[in-house]
Amino acid sequence: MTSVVRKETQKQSRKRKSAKNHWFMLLSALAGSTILLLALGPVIIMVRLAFTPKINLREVPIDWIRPLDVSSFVDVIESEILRSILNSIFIAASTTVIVLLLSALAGHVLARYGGEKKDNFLMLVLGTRMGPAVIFAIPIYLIAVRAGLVDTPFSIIAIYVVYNLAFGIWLLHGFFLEVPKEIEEAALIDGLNEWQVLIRITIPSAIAGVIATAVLVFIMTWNEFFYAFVLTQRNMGTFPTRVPSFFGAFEVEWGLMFAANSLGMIVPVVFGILARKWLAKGFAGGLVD
Amino acid sequence: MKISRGYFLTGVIPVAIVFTTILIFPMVYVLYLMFRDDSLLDPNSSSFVGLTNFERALQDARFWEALLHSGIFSAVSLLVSIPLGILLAIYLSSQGLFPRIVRTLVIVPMVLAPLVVGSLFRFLLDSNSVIPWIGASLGIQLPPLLSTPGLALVTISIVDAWQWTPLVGIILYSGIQALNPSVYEAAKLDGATRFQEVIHIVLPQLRPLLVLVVLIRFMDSFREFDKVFIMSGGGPGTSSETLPVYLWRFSFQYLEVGYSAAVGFLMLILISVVSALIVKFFKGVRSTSE
Repeated sequence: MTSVVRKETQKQSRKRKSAKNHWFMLLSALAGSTILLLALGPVIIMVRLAFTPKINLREVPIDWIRPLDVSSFVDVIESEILRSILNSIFIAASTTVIVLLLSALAGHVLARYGGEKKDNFLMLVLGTRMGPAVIFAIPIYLIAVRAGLVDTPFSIIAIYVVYNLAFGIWLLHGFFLEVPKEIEEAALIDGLNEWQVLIRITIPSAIAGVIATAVLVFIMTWNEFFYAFVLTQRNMGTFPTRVPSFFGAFEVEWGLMFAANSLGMIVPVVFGILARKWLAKGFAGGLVD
Repeated sequence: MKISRGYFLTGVIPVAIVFTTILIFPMVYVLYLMFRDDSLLDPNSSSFVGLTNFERALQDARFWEALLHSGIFSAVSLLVSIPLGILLAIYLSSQGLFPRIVRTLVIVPMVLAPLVVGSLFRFLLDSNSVIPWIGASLGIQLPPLLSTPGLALVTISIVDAWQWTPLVGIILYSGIQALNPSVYEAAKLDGATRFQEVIHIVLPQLRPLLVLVVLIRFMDSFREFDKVFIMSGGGPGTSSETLPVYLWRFSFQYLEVGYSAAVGFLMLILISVVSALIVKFFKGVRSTSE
């Protein structure tokens, strides 16, 4: 008798639980859609407007089913945006390669040598990565002017290397720490030198972290505006430095701006989604996991 | 692995050279310029003036206003992004397919260039544009947000929060994932509801991480230049001029090199204090998680 009753209540509770599950799913879907609408809505609007004829940009509500129109893209490509995107690719790639080369070695040393005090290295990470760029803008600009380095790749890449180097070292040091010391020691005993250990053992074992570091440095460099604005002009101007040029004194070229922004965001969005596991770490200066 | 002296030096020396030439040199240059009245507009003005630049900054009402604006900017950005980020983290750590999809796509705002975000929202906020239209269809008549003194600063700050709420969300989400699951199970046995579980068990354990996130967000919003530059340029008037924009104006528009160096130095001190706090709390987070 009691067992029958218990079975009944179990059945009921299971029923209630599954009803509760349906509600939970519905709520979860609703909340998720709201979040995505808020996070992606503005970006989707931007891309839609980039494909809209200029005279129709101001229409609200937005006509989502209007046929796509590429005239803004045609115009923006004529306005040298491709050159700035090529500049961005060149500058970001060079920075990434230099930072990786320097910080793989230094990160390895820090991982295997750094003692208790190495957390103080974080001050350098924070200072270079998260300090306001504008503080040193004047001296850096004056030095670049005197050395004739304004609007050359050297000055801007040098700044970006400094901007990312401490961060790169810190990140790689963390990834290298996860490589078991025993593997490295065994390789040393087998007769490899430390360089060979780094290249053949440590980096391949931490390859996901190395790629993540590269992607993060690339995104940061790609998106940087202030130093590019100060140190480059027409010749080496990166993608973000083109954006203010759409804001004329009397008229804003919204259509061109949306088209340019849509082209310029492809790289960071694709890289960002690929590296999503490490984004929190990357954007928090390597301070969180 | 025990490393040799040679390997240590090949690792450290290039990095040391890069930092000393490209970082220390400008730093020393700031220390030199900040005691001088150099101006690029006036080639004759190049003399040692002692602490005059600092006196001038501390007596300049516009400097204090810029500091206040920076404070308001950071405060609003944090007050919006931290609570919403906590809610986002709780959502991301719930079960099911939707949170997984959101986890992938919600990161899009934070990988966009701040300049792209700023220019996009400048359009969306423009009169007769999308956001005023949404307001009007909800029956709210929005004032011109970017051209009203006072409102411009707060509006840009909310846009900053829009970009960085996902960062708060995913940092705290990773923090929640790292918590020891046995704690929840004990709570569940005690009959705790999901809501009680979050309030009484998850959040208190995340507190050290939360402090760290607040400091990181503070530092990020404090240095924000791009959005203010492209959305209002510090205007109308100087009503949304934050400290970085103030410094940029004196550096690259008024070309007062000596004075700018002094203001930069003051900012550097402020940032160093915050950095030291961040490092302290970082150690705290690590020692509790181990």
